[in-house]
Amino acid sequence: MHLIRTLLAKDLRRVRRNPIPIITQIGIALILVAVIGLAFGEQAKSGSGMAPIKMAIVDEDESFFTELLQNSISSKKFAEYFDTEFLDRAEAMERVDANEISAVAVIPDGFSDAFLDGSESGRNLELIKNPAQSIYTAIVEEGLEALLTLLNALSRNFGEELRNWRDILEEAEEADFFSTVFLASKLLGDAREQIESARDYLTPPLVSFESSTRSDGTEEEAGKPFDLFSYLFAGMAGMFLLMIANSSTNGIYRESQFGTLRRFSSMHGRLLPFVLGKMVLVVAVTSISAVIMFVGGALLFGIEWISPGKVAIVTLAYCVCGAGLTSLIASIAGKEKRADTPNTIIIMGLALLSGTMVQTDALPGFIQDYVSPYLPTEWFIRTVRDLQNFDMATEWVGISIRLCIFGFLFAGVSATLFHRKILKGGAV
Amino acid sequence: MSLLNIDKLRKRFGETVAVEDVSFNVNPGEFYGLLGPNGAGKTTTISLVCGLLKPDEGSIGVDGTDFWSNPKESHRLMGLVPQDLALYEELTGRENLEFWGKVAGLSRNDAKERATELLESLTLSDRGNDAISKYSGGMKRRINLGCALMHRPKLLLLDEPTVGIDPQARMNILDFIRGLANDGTGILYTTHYLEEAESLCDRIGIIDHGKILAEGTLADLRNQIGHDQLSLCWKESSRALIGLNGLAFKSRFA
Repeated sequence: MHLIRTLLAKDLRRVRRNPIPIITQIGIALILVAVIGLAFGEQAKSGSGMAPIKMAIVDEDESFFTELLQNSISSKKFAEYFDTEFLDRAEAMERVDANEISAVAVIPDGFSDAFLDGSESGRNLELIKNPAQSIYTAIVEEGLEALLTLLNALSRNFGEELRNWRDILEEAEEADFFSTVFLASKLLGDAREQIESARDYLTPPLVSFESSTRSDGTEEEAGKPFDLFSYLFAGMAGMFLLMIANSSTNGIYRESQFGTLRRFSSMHGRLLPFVLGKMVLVVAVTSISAVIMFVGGALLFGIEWISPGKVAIVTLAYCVCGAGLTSLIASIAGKEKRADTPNTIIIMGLALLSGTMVQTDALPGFIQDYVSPYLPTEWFIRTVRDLQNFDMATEWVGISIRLCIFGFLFAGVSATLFHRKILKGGAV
Repeated sequence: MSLLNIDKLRKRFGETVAVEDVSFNVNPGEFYGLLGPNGAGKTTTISLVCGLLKPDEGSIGVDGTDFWSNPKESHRLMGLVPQDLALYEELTGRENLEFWGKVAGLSRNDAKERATELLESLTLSDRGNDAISKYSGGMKRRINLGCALMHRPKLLLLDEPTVGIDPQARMNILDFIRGLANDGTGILYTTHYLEEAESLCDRIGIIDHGKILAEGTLADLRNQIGHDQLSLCWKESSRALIGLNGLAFKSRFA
């Protein structure tokens, strides 16, 4: 312990004399926060972490069906994510040109009839995207695809019922009251029977989810809206923290270059204290960067961390793991120049396979089953996302311990590799 | 009892034999010089002695104990002055000394006291609080030497400690080292400067291609050779040995 303290004090003194490298490394964290800020804009402060996406709907159909759609879009839930206006086509195009809205969804004339009658033509919705707001339009496109899936499912399963409903409601003013009520109640009964028979196939995940969250007594959190911004943020933090750890580990290469690592080795056979001393510094730098990222995310973009204490502990454990991992990479590479390219590939690879950019669910099955679950980056990213969006009573503790164990394990292997390389007269 | 006892040391790097059947010993207060051209195996031998490399064969005894049976104690008994400077440029001379002293196991106060003492001995008291980056080459060499002396080792290993410095700075360093030997420190010193070996060393081992070619005091070497002058021939001009009057090695390019 005395030795690790001595090594750390020396490194801190060196940092004080020449703070530029460390400031640069911590600056990466600031840049990350700034880049996300630029991408999502100041609007991110409001709502669920990401501002409602401004879009227009051009209803050229003006049917009963699209009126229903208008009502559902005006709901409070939908408004959390989409700021929707109903405009005519010309006005909507003007707003796109002025970069005031992200996308325009056009419901063409005759859409409802074509949809309900199941005819081949006239069932296409039109999406006009604003090229200046690529991220938002991508989200709108995803949303529209989800809506189409829903509409297709409705058409296939309840097509006849929907047509009957349209007939009832369109003819309600002319028909006598009792026959309308009779028809409506018959349709309701049929619909209920169909839903009941399909319930087992449609809803089992919801049933099991509810029961598990209720048993933990966290009903309030279970109802929280999904926080897309913090979801993206956790993934990016996972990658950038590893990059910062890698950059901070460069100190080991310098020690090797200046001959101080060999001198240390000539005084102490074992290099574990040396590697641990470096690790402490790397953990300190990455932890400061993490604070900047997560607190910056909270202050600038309105991310409300549901469990800040738990997120902090998991992040600290991840910093330990990252420091161990990068010192292991350094011990394998030996020299800074030799390490540059493989380091970038390893870090980017770990990040991509861990769901930084895309969800692991979107990765090939083999990677989902046999690669991602074994990566520390995936443990961290998944845990932070889950802590933010679901309840994790105890799992985060196990993951934090696992991350720390792996960090120290990596450090041990790193020290052994350094020592073996020196003993063999290798490039250290 | 010898302070350092090297017996039939052998080290290979792949197909290259770096050190072959090297044996010698260093006694307390003795100044032993390992003399040879670049690439002769001097640095490899020093690295083997201080545990930076593990020998393929042979043994290294330090103060009567096999090095690899108790490496911790062996490390404590010796100090290494590497050929290349191993210092932190951002730190001051004093901070470098104190740091390496603490790494060697000194307490904070002991490291402070010893650093003050060494700065004085090395005539660097007035520059002790300057960053190493502001030092001249000779001053850096002196601090590099001082770092190895912080824990008062019984055996000092010096790997060409005067490379690249001016004659006056070299004389200062060599006088200082001679003083250490007079105080009882055993010294293993590698050099390719023949005049240094002649003026400083009690005994000399001449090494090339990883083998000790001749070993002994100046008088022994004279007797072994039987003449005042010896001619050694190397096929490569870069390996030409240096000439010297008295015990004279004359270079002649084949």
